[in-house]
Amino acid sequence: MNAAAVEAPVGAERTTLLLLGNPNVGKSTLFNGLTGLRQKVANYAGVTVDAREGELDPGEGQPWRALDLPGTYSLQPRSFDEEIVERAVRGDLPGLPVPDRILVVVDAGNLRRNLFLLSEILDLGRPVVVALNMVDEARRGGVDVPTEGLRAALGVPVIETVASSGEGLDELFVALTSAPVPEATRRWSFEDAALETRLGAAPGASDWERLSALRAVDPAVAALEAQARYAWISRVLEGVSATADRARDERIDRVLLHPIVGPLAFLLVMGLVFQLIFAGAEPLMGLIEGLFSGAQAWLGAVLPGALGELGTSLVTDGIVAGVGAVIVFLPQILILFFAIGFLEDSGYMARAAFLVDRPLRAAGLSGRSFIPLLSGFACAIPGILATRTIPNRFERLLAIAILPLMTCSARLPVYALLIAAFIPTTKLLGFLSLQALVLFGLYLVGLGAGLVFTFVVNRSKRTRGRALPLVVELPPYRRPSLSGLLLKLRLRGGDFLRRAGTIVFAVSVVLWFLLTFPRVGAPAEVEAQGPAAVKSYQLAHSFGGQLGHAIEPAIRPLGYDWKIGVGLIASFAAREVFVSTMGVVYSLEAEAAEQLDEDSKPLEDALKREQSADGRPVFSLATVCSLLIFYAFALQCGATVAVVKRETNWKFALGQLALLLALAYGGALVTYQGLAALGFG
Amino acid sequence: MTLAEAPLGVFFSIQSLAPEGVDLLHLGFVPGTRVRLVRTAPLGDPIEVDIAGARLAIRRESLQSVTVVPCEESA
Repeated sequence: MNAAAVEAPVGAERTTLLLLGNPNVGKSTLFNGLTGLRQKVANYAGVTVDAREGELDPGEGQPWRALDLPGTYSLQPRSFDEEIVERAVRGDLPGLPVPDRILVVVDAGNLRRNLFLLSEILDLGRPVVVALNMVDEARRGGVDVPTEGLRAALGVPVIETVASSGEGLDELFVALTSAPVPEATRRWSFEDAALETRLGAAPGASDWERLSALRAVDPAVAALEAQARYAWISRVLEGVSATADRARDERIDRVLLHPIVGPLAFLLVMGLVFQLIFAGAEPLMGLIEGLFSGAQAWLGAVLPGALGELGTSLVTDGIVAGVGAVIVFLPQILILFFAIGFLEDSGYMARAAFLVDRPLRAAGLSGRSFIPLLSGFACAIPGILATRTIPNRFERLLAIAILPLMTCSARLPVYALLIAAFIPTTKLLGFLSLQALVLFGLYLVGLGAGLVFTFVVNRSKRTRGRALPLVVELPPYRRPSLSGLLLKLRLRGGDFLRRAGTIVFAVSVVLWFLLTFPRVGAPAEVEAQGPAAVKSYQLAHSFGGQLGHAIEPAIRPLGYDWKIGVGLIASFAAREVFVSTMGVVYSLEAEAAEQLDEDSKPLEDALKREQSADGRPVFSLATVCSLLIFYAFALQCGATVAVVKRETNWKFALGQLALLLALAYGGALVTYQGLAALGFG
Repeated sequence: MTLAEAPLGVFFSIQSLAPEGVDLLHLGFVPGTRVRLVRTAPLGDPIEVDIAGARLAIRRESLQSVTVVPCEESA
């Protein structure tokens, strides 16, 4: 240790602990056990990491920062997530110093693979502690866990743990905090002595940095390095039966991955997830809607004294209504997160990726895109965040590009209103509801458009990027821990609310302004028709209303009038706003407007009554279908645009916005003109 | 023979890896390792591979860069 390190100020930085390990080794469960429930999603200066930060309190001095990073197979990054891990380990993330301790979590039942990452981490020369996790499961599976042998071979503390039951956690805590942890050293070496000499001469402060430098100048090194690491692993595990018996998993896989039963089981599981998302969330969504409309009514009665009429309108019509429109989707999103978390932790998600890889490949994607796209059916934002696990950058961008085309739950209120009002309740073949078929068709239209898009882009791409192998590990089946799932749910749900809530808040205020100003006085004859008519008149003359008139020539070919134009503009930041805006545009009585989402009958009737100047109904079948198509394609979600920008850049985000708008316009145009030509106009 | 052509259920020993297969190195595809194809997905691709004590789903195309020879002892 040199003098500078000794004299470095102590206590200026909090001690930092990083948790690393392969996927599916129980790392997060161990993290929960060490830090307790006080955790947050970690964010570092614009880099959103799917990582959690918690505290570790050694009893004296400041509590430590503990960071749980995404699972990785190697420090040589293949995906965005893995790149983050590699940067974090080197102390290269803004706001995150070089870690003082690294805890490597290893699956005792899968040592051969897990020791590869561990050998890379040892090369960093940092203080390392190893948690040999799931020793119970490994021993049950017939693994002769070589704890003593590992201690000797690794030269760092090795603690046996069972994270799910808390076994070994105290000992691990002591090993991490009380005892001095030695700096790890490289344990393997190249077979070729000349290469060892070159490594010693390479620039860098650690063996890892020297290796990186060597790899950069000589691509052949990577292969020799991997070979040498595995040769070392074989020596460490010599004479140890280190592989768990997988007979039980094999029996399950014989069914779930069966050529015929497998896909059927997959469809059944997906059907259940959707049933859970839509049917399960309904009562909760009703409750939230009730709370928000109650709050609106209460604030509407209480605030005018303090804030005046305008201030009250800003709070109730702008902020509360806007934020409520997003929070109402929270139950669906939480159920989706729960279902995905459950399927992931149980080991089924990897099997699903295995099953759907071939079909998705036809569209230029892979099984890796499955979870993000599935998430997109509840909300595009968690889907976009989930694309970080896709190793191939090009595929990741493709997945982000088409995610807004997956029918998210914000489209449902719009679909529900239009379908209930204008699609007949006919039953086809006696049992198939035409309304349900139209809704299902809209899901397919979005998904189909997305897959056609990726197919075309993939075909037209001149230089095919280096095809990364699809590699998905099929982990042993395990029973998910409920407490772990709930904690994940709390963290992800809170993160979603912060992310979406702040943007929606800002957008709500802007929209409120556009739809409220300038405030013109209504003429006497309008005044005479009551307050609803006045509100409608004022809206027509607001900036938003003027915009609606201004874009009327452009949307006329789609079959829309200026009133629908106002709805389109208002819903540009959040689709579901269309419904409430139409309520205001069509001058509904206030109490009727409040119960719109629950039972939209008054609005349905108003839409059906609406006639254009020549006496024909505005909402012809052609106009309704054109609107449905428009909403299926258009990216009307400010929060999504903001998240896409953060995950990519402004060029990509705005390009996507423009492209999807063009697609929506073109689709709606063809739909309207086609149907009108057939006599449905 | 490449691993892409190997019959299901039989252990082979990895002989060499083509340069395109460098990404498989980290996953244990190093010469001398025993490897076995377990099953294919319903549409024939990807393939479940048993290697280094783990099960990996890998596309057939990637397995073409792995050259294998029959395993001497079939334990």
